[in-house]
Amino acid sequence: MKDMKNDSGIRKTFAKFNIQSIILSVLMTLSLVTVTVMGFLLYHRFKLASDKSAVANTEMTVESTIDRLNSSLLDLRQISDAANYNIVQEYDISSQEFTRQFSMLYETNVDKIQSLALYGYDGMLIESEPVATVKDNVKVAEQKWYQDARSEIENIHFSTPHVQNLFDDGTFRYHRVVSLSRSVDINDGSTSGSGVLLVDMKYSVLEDMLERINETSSGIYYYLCSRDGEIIYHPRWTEINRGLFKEKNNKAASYEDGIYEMKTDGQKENIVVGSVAYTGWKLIGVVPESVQETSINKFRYYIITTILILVMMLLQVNRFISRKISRPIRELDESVKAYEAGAMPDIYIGGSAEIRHLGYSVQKSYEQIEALMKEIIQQQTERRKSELDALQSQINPHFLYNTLESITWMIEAQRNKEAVVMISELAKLLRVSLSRGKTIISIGDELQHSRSYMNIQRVRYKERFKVEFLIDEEIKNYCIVKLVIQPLLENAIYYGVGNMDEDDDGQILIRGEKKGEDIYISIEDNGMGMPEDIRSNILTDNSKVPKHGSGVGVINVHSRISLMFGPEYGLEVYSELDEGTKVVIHIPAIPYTKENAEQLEKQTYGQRRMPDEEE
Amino acid sequence: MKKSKFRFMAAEVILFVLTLFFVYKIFNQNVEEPRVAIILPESGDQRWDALIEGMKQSASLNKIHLIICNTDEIEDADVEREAIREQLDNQVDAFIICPSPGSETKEMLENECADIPILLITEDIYDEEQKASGLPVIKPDYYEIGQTLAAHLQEDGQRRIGVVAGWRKSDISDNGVRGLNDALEGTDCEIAWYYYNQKEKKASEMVSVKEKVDAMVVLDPDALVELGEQAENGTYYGAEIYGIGSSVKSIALLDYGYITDIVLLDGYEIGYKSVEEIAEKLNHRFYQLESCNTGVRELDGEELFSDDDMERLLYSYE
Repeated sequence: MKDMKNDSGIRKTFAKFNIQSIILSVLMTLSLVTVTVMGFLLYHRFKLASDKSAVANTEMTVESTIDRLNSSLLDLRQISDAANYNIVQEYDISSQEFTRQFSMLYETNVDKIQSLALYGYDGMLIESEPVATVKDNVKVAEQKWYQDARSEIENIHFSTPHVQNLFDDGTFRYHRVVSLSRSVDINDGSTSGSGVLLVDMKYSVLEDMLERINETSSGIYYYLCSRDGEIIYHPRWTEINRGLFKEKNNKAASYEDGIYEMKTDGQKENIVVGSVAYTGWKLIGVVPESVQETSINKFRYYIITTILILVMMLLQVNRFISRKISRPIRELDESVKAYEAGAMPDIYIGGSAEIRHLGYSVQKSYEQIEALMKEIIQQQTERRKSELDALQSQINPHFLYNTLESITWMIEAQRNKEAVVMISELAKLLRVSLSRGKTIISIGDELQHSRSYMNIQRVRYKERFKVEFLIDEEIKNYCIVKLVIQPLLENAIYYGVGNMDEDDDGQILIRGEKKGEDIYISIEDNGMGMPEDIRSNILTDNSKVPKHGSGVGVINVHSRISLMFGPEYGLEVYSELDEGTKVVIHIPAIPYTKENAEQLEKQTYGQRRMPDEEE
Repeated sequence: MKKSKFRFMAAEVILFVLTLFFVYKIFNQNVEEPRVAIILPESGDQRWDALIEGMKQSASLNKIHLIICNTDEIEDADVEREAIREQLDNQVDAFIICPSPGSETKEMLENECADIPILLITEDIYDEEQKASGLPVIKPDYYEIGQTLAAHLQEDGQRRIGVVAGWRKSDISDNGVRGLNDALEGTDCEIAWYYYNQKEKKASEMVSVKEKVDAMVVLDPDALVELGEQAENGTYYGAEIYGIGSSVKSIALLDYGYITDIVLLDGYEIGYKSVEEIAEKLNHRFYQLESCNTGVRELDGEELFSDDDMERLLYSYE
């Protein structure tokens, strides 16, 4: 039930649009969906490739930087080995050669190392390069590098970077160094002992290396931390120290070498972890999600621009296609609408086979409808004509019989002159009655017919009543249905003045006049009149009207006029008991011409007038 | 025009406009960073290292292009005006300025930088009636520093004090001295004399002819280093030095025992916050620049390397 309602709703919605809009909408929807999905897939693919490429580049940078770090640390180790095996173990520490060799080793590596120093086990400085004043109040034995060397004498110890707090070199500067310390055997003349050899590598060696890679990588950054997560180098170390930036160095340091995905403040980032030899330090490359933002943004704009251009083009193409498809249907629709509006049935035939077929079918249907319509009209016309003919034929025999009877009676009574007049009037009457089979005659002829009839009747009724014609001359040349006045005169005689004595001054008055576009002909008698119930039914209920004479009542006359001129025309009956009756014929004022008469005969007079009236 | 045709044309026009917009976005990605000029007296001096480091860090994060003007000593508003005009010719978008001494600086800045954001650092400008300029400024609270130094003097039992106050009518000299005086009022400490900077005269030479005192409070960081160096050279007469430091050298002098106590200005924080503030203003036209006080560090020579904190502090001063 619900589905049906939905279907009906959709149908109603579609009904609001024309076929071109519907086709265009469907094509555009399909195009948009396709283009958008393709754009999204392309964007997604590019983003993945871009991320992958960034991570791969970071991995390569981490690997190459680790190689360089390893090399630097190896250098440091080699310096320490050279100092230990080639100098400390070879020479007496009090000898000049020891000092010379010590100094030479420092000079050779001055670009890498800050200082080279040998301490005794009591923490006292034995030798140092460059020669510098030992700072007051410095407790070497409490420093971590020293303690590490003393605690594990067989190992070489790398410290994390720290401020060297040993010498006063007069520069008022502090040097950050990475210390390599080891326990060494000292040869002091005849006695041998042990001490701690310290090689302080300049922190700037590491810093410069890492700064370089950070400067060249936009967005991606690299930092170095110990295996415990203590930061050795970070491009934003000051900010980290001041709590302005947070780094997940502890978590990252716990990872083995590889690529990992981490989430920081809801932001995804990839990290590449690599381990540095000798020290266990970790070099970590961080690829934040936002790193590719600029290139991704640019690509996003490319995609959107491409989609927009495609949509513009598709809108043009789809509009063309929808017009092409819908044009024959619209043409067909237009031609059907034109036909419905009353134009000639010129149905469009064109387009694809289906639409051509539809056009042919519609045209054929309309042709058939036209033919049927004509046939129906013709049949109706014929039916009305035959009905009129039938009505007319009801008059003639009855009247003829009465007249002939009167003539017969006159001849028997030797009233030959009167009989001649009667026959003459009858001839006139028959001439008009026949009228070559016409139904429409001029009012003049109809009045002539009425006069003849009344002359006959006056003879029959021995002139017991008077007849007066008051007719405007102008109406004589207008059309009227023939034999409409005579039945009314007949009724006026039979129901009005026919039974009155000569002294009663019976009178029948026939008036004719034109009022506006209509003509009114009244037949008025001063007879006995009729009751109201009869008067009110006289034009509608034939059964309640008493028949007399020919039996042709006012109903027949009224029907004939209405059938010929339309329902607004016909008779109007006014009557009052003992006063008289007045019957008014109301017809349109149609000039009597051959053409008008013929059109009225064919019942086409009104049809031809219609288009003009619409105009 | 038929309705459907109008709709079609409207859709095409909208799509075309959108396309133009995105094409513009494609070719307009490399938007030039706003340019901010930094005017500091003796811009190459070590005392600005931490401040410039902080500025650079903040600038890289906020996508600001810094122009650090190469200047010598800025002794008055006229010298500073020249530097500002030079940068205005370079079409800079904003200024961060360490104001030159003298109350006329305010008027000069308001005239020269009427249409451009300006932020003062390290010091405010005060008029003859000790009224602050009302310009946005990022600086330490010198009054509090004066009080801190006074507390140190009392702890160490110093009696007669000499004060090297820097430039007269400057933020440091006015507020620092006021803080010092307020804190020492009613104590055993007595301020024997004040020395204010004089043009083309060295503070170390001028104080050597002053009355001997137990301790000197040096509110001017330059004078502090100068006196520390004098002590290192052995030409100093012996009063213990307390003061405001702003460079690694001042820390080293403390470390080597030539200075007794310093209150270290956090130059990094001043630099970082000032660029952050000006970037906010450049990114949001209606943002109002706000003043704020930055932190300081009290350093004692004996406990200098007692924890890792010093390592971290030095890192931002290198």
